[in-house]
Amino acid sequence: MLLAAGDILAMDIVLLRMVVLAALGGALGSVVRDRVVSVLRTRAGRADLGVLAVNLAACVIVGLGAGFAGADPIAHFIVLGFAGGLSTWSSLAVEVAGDIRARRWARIALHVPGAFALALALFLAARALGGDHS
Amino acid sequence: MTVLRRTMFVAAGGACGATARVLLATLLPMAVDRPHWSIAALLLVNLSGSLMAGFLRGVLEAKQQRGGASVGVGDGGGEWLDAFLIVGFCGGYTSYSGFIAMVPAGSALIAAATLCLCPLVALLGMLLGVRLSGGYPARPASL
Repeated sequence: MLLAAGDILAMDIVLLRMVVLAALGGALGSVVRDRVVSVLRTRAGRADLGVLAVNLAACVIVGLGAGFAGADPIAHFIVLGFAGGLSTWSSLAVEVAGDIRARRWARIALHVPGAFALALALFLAARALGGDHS
Repeated sequence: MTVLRRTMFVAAGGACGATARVLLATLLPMAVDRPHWSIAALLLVNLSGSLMAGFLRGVLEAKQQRGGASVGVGDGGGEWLDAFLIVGFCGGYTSYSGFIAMVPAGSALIAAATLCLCPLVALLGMLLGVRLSGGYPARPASL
């Protein structure tokens, strides 16, 4: 009985640590995303390229971190937190919706199938490069 | 809004969004003992996050149209809404890298379905959110 209670407590601590590390990584990733998108919006007038850049960078980071074991705190902070916070679907959807309204078909092709193919290729290459860290 | 204040709002929103994503997309499949539900859970996260972002963006557009181009924290919370909720929370809640990482893990059918469904679901969620708010993002300046 005591062992079971201890196991539950240990599991709760692991889950709590996972959530805290993901939150810290998510905060950092979100700030980096905001800065990158803001810089590209103000200097190049292309917020969409900022969203593309952070999404691709996050896929590389997740690929490099894929070798870490699932319970590894580094994986929780970098993969779940930082890369998850750095990448975004909501901003991408806003950009693509604007492109649809403006009938910018080349940009839609860049941000949906083009970015998907590039992101997948970068993820696989980074995963192969990263190896197994467990 | 100063850069420091915006950074703090984005960080706080990103932390809350990442926490919500981890609880829903990682812990839910573990809690129901169905690991393969991860893709469905992340799809749900991206749908709800995009819907929320679309709704908030519509609200923000309406607020800016009523109050002029610049709406500050003190006069209606427009920039707070953008930094904390749209950029921070919705951006940290939804995840692109999580989906890309899941694609090679499943079968070819699941990979194809994921790649087709994800942008569709996110876009539909965003447009539904905008429609629910009663607004629509401003047309690009080039039009």
